[in-house]
Amino acid sequence: MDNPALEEFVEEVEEIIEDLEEGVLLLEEQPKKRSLIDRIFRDMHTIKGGAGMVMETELAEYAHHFENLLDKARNGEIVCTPEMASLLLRSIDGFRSFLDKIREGGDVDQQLINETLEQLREFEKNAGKTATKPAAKKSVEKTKGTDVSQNESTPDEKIKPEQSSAPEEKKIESDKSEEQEEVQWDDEDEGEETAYLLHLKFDSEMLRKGSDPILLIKDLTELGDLAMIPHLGRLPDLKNLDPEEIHLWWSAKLVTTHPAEEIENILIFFQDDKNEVNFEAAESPPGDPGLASFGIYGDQESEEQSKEQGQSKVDESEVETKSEPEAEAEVKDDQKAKVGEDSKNEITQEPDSPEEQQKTVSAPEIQKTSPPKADAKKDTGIKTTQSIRVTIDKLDNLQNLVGETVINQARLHRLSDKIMEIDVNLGEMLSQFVEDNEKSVQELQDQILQVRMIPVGSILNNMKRTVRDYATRSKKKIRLEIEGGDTELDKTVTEQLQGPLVHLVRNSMDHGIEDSETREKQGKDPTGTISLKASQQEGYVIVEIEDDGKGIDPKVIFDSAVKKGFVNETDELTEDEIYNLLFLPGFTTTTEVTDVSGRGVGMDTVKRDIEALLGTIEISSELGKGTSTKLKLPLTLAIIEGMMIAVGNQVFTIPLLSVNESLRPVPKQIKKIKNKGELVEIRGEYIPMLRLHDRLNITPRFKEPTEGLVVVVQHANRKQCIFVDEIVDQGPVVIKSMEDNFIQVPGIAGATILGDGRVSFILDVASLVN
Amino acid sequence: MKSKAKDEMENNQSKNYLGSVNLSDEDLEDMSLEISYSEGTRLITFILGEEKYGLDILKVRELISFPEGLTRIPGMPDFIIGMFNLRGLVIPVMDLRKKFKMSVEERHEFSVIIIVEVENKNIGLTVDSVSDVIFVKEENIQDTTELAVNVDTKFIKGVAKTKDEMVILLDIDYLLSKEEFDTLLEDKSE
Repeated sequence: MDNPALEEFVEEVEEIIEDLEEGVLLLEEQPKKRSLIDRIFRDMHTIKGGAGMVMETELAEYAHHFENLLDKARNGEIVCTPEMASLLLRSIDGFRSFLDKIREGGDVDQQLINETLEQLREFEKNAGKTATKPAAKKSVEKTKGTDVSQNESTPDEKIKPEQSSAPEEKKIESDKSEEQEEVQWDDEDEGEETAYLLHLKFDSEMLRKGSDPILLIKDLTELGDLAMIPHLGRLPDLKNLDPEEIHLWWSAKLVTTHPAEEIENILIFFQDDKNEVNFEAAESPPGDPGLASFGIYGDQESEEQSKEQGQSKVDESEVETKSEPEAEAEVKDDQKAKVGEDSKNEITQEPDSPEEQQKTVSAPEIQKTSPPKADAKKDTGIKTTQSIRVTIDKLDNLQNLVGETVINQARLHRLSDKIMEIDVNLGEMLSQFVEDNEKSVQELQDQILQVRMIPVGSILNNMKRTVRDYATRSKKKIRLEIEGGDTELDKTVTEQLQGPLVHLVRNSMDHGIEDSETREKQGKDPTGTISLKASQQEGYVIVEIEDDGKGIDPKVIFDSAVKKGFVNETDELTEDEIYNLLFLPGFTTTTEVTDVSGRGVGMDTVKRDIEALLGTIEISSELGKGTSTKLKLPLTLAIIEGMMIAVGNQVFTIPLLSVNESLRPVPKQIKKIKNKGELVEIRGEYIPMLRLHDRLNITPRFKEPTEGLVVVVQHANRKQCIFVDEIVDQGPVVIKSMEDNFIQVPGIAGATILGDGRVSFILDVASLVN
Repeated sequence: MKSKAKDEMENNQSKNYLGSVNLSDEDLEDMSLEISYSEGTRLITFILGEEKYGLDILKVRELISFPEGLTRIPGMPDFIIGMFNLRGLVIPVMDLRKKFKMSVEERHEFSVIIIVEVENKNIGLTVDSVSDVIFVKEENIQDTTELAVNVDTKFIKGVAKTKDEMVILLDIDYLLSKEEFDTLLEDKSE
């Protein structure tokens, strides 16, 4: 794929598909939410348009079919049913297949495409037949018994009233009455609408900088009903009027079902020290269209106010003929006029209400916090957040270069130390420079890491589809809750987290959550819940997968492990140790194998994948209550803090995050136990000790830990003492994958390059601890 | 202390890889063009023990002198003699003499590491010395089945005959294949 336009298209569509998938899943829950249908329609439309541009006509046509379907949904001819959601989801798979074809060549999954199109035709035919009688269509479909099986598992709200034992005639009547009614979008009668008051005062120079209030207004109108009142106080005489300046400012009321953050997201592009753009939630009920009742005339200049009131009528007409930007506001012309009148009527009442009075007082205060600086012209650019799309390759290269710089910095350090021994003055100078440079390098490193961070929400949201598909196939009802999706993690880590996450969620669905009947019998909510929570703790990101299913019975695991010969019947294991058995290759407790899990390959793969990311995995469970799996992952894989330790003539690196402490034990701290090896007693705790030189087959300088050092490392909840010769250094190390040019070597998590240019291996703490 | 400084200098020198042969992309392109016109292969030839070996020059990334500071990889068989830092890349080095179970000689001034690139992996191979770049026509390459050489024939692709000598073609793709690498891990457990 050499065509950059095509490449960009594929990337774009990938993003759209994700949005699409999420949209469809939400729509299934709230089939009558207009904004969702609009969103899905827009996505389809974008795919179609883009595909046409890059001459992917088949894809464009495919998207076109589904766009048509959604258009019908938009017009209220069709209401989204579970089968329509399934169809849309399958179409998404179809789009993916197209993308695969474009990216890797080969063929589209023609069978899938044909099937989905066939289903679509079928669906549209049914819908078309009964389009004028949406209610009747439902009952027909129901009695016919469509081949889509999900229909039964998911009760349709609309069907219920009609299926009541009402006589036929009545039914027809009710159908008729429904016919006349327009589809009631949930968005409209949800009652979740909130009104916001906006204060939009722009820098008069704004137009010259290429920005335009109209953009803001356009965006806002997309969120809901926007009523605006212009303030003409700053308007100069006609002869002094500079058409390239903005003289007006606006008060606006936005009634929307969207959350306040979305308004914030629009306004943020316009918020700088010259523009006064802010908003607040209105306290009056959103149904009241009167702007004035919110006291937004609380302008600091009361003269302006009176002027406005007096001229209101004239102003209105002036505004209409003013300039392009304002013209957009005319869309709401009628409303505006009405609002204007309302305001005039109500303005006199304003002081009567203490609430409003408060508002008038608070308005100038708001302005104090962001005083207009008309004379501050030093600031040239407008503050807009722009973003560019960069391929991950470029970032990887950049990251590598930064890595090189970090290594060179370490070399400089060594060099300055050496020069210091020869020439103190020169050494001092160099060392000063090296220290200054260190700050820049550190900053550079932090910045590049920041750039690579993406929210884990994207992969958490992908689980929605996994859960939905499983739930429709099985008899279980499962709800997925997602928390902390905005937690950020390195892109590579995030991507590699996807596999293990799917596995864990499937495990929860398959082995954890019971079917509705069983759950009800046990007094649980018939719908099971799986929750995914992401959060950041120090240098780690924690991802928790929790279900409220049947939990894990330690006894069952133990017995199963005995049967398989992993442990002896006489072994006494702690609960944690028993859960750890789950990670053994080939371990399974289920006797029946399903298509999702139970083959005994899995948890060990999950564990390996997580450990390859230098992370840890822990399982905890309560029988009958549920299971929780906790993943602990480093923020990044590229650069970590490392402790360099020497064994013999070789230097190894231990990730500092795994190091608890280091010490030189006294002889009485060392205990030798038969068959269990050596233990070190540290503050009353006995921790097993590993002689690293034995493990790595190296001749050490010291034979006894009392001569060398012991480093205490921890992985998950297990501690281990590692006997080494000495600690050489500590600092940031760039992780190089062993697999890039070689193979994954057991016991080694990666390689790094030391200040002297030599390669040092990063020890895999997980394998040392076990 | 002084000797340490000297070490450092030598280190740096080895980092410059004096005398290394870098093949630019253009060179490689030229060669591939030539090859597509006439049926045959351009080989880089090197000496290992008594014999002359050759490998497809398109697999060769560069030649370097023996680096200071190879780091041994724990648990690997002895013919993987370690990893080193090639301008930020961490590259393993395989001692071909050890791999082919020949007598192990002390390294001398002509000892060279050939960095080859197979399936996006860069790997160093130690050879006694590099001799030449030759062009061999397809019809001059023979099967190895009836041939008796010191090396396990599974690593040999064939034998190329030129005017005055025989060159053993190394099957570098097999030598550095995933299957072969996987055996490293088995070796370790033995």
